[in-house]
Amino acid sequence: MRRTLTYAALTGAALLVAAPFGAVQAKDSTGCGLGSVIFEGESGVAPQVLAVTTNGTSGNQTFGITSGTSGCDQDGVIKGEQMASMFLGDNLDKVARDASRGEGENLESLATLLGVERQHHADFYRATRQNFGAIFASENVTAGQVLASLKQVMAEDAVLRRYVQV
Amino acid sequence: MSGARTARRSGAGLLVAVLALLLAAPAAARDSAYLDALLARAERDGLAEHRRWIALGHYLPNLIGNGWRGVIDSPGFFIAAEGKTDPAAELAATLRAFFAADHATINDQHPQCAFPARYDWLKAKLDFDPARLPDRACPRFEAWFQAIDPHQVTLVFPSAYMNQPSSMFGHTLLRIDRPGQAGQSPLTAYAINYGAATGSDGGVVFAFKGLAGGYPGHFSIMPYYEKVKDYSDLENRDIWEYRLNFQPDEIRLMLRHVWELGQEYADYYFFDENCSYHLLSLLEVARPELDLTSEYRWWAIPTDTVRSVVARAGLLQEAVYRPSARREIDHRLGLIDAQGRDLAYGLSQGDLALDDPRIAALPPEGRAAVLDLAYEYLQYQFHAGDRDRDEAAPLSLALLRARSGIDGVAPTPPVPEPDVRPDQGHESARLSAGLGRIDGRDFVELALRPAYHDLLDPPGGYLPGTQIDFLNIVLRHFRRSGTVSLEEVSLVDIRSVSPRNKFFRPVSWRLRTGVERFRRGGEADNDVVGVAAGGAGLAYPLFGDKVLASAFADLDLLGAPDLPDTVLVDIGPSLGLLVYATPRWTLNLQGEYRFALDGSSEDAFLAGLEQSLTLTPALAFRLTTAYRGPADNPFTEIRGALHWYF
Repeated sequence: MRRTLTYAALTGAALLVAAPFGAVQAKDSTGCGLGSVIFEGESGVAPQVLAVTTNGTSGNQTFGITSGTSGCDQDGVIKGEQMASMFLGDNLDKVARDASRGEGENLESLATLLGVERQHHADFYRATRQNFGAIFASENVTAGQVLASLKQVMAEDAVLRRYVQV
Repeated sequence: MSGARTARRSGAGLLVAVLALLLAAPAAARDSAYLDALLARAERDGLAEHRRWIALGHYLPNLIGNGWRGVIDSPGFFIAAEGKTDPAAELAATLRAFFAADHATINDQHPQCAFPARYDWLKAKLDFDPARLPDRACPRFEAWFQAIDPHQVTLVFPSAYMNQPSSMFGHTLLRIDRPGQAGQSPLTAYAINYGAATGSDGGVVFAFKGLAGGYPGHFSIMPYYEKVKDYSDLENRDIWEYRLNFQPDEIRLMLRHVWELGQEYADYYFFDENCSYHLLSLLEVARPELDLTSEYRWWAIPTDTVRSVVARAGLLQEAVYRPSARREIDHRLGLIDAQGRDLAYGLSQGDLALDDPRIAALPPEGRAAVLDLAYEYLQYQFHAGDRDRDEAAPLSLALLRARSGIDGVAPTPPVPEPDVRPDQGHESARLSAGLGRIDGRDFVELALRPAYHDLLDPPGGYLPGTQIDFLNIVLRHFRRSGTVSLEEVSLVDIRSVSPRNKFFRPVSWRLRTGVERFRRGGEADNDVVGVAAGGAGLAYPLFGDKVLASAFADLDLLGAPDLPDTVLVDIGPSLGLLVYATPRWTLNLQGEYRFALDGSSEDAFLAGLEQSLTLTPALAFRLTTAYRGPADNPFTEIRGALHWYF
């Protein structure tokens, strides 16, 4: 009974303001991420009264756990050694923001992915802030270029050079 | 796609048949003897009724009579033809399949690899003899499992987004944490999400199919940072992360089971078999004794499911608050002075040059605060689609570059965690009983609202200025006439009162539809009329964020046979003052005037004060006083009611 009543109410309500839980959002696969540019256009969900389409998905979304291989991701997970470049590519603007301040969760994650040990994180933060202009040379710089510049900065740093194979 | 898979399957079947002919008969006989022994033991031990097996098959007991029904709807999840309704047949077919010759029979995998949780559990329960039933190598599954490295699980709850009350129901997902994750950023851990593949449907089709189970729901896995970007940065929803206390081997078994769900789907129902329901079913695989899904068989509101999980003794280890990008900006706005706000705004709009002397004159801390705020606000506008990349990208980079030149500034203190978490807010169903007097007539009132939250309900754990009520039913018994009458049934009643300031300028809105008692005189007085009403307005904060002052322009449509033109259209302003006086005491002062557009009906007005006092987490007292009615014949109304949240 409760179910019937609730359904009747919610059917009507949903027709007015459908607000589905947990529908999937479209997400383009960006390969290994190295092609990404800082400040890529990604728009949010504008508040709408009839927000019925905001949780739709595009046709090219892959569903399921065993989704096979696409670019660097296999069955939804990223091969270990590619996680650093994938993460950088997917979070370039937030890494840049953290680097400008010399602190932040995204910069910390990148340091960990690059194998920088905890006791050297402060050096990593300092080096990225001080060399911000060299690492993020323009707003059109790609994640691949950022990673190369970052490794260059690390190679020239007395503490961090141990984490870069020359 | 499915055609190709079928072709591959029948190809594989043919291969199996040919190989079976080629293989020596004695080997098959030995396998078959051991299979029979295992089947007998499984039956003797009652494994098919074991809670773990029931959880692994996502079985629910039938409502009438004995028997079971599996919630997963794709046939590939069951090996036995009747597996969806027969756990014992499914168990027998699973054991039989584990003996398959080394071929990719299910989804290009050996059955042992396609069902690693079933295999793991049955192997332990039946003590498989490796000489007679050897483990198969599962490289694809192993690579996946190692990359995730499951150790602990976190229930993730993105709460509502501002100015969109319909998002109040929230969403839930799971994050799988690695060993040693505690104290480190979880951004690169993996998240497991359950969602509907809705394609490009919209509007009514979307709503109808969603309610009727017309979309397939799938599990998917992605790095957690993707979900943080979606919710924190794009949708501006605060995220709550509930780290749960499970044993690592429970979580490993759960992940093995996630692999079994592979490409399988379950019909997605927005209100019951939704994301939250299916995540509970995963936690039940980890620990079947939790018995989480049974109470949500018909109705799973994500916040309620979070509440049940958190309420289980010892299950919650720690709750972590992850404020949204918008919340971060609000926090920074509160830390900076008026001049700093203006400078940041000017910088973010490109109206002020970075080398402006007023910025250079600031101490390093002040300069950093201005640059950080300017950058965050510019990113917010960019994500909202308000700024072009061509303009925003070079400006963003210039702001960051200037910021990187400032040394030795302490990090901004984090956004303080709200006093009340969403799971600690009031429960979403409400029953109330009260007394009142309208136009001199005394009544007793009984009301039921199945979901969810109105402006005056206890505010802790909810977004201020937000209301979404479903199916509020109000009955009144009038003492003098002795009759019980329906006062109101609102199908939906939504309000969003969103404060505006220099940085954020949302439009507040309201929408209400249902039936109510008409009290404006004339033929239709005291009739039940259909109502559809809506409005848009502006709201401003006063005294910090304790008071929200709002002004709306409203349009109401009322329909009833006895109304002069059957339908009455009226328009008019509404003014409101919503006061969060103390965490327990909320007031709403309202004034409304309605001009009837048909000429023959009376205009109407309302001046009212509504107050709510929270008594206990589950009880509140509501006092409503109003002076209202047709302009030439107004009346007073007063009522007091006790609200019970359950």
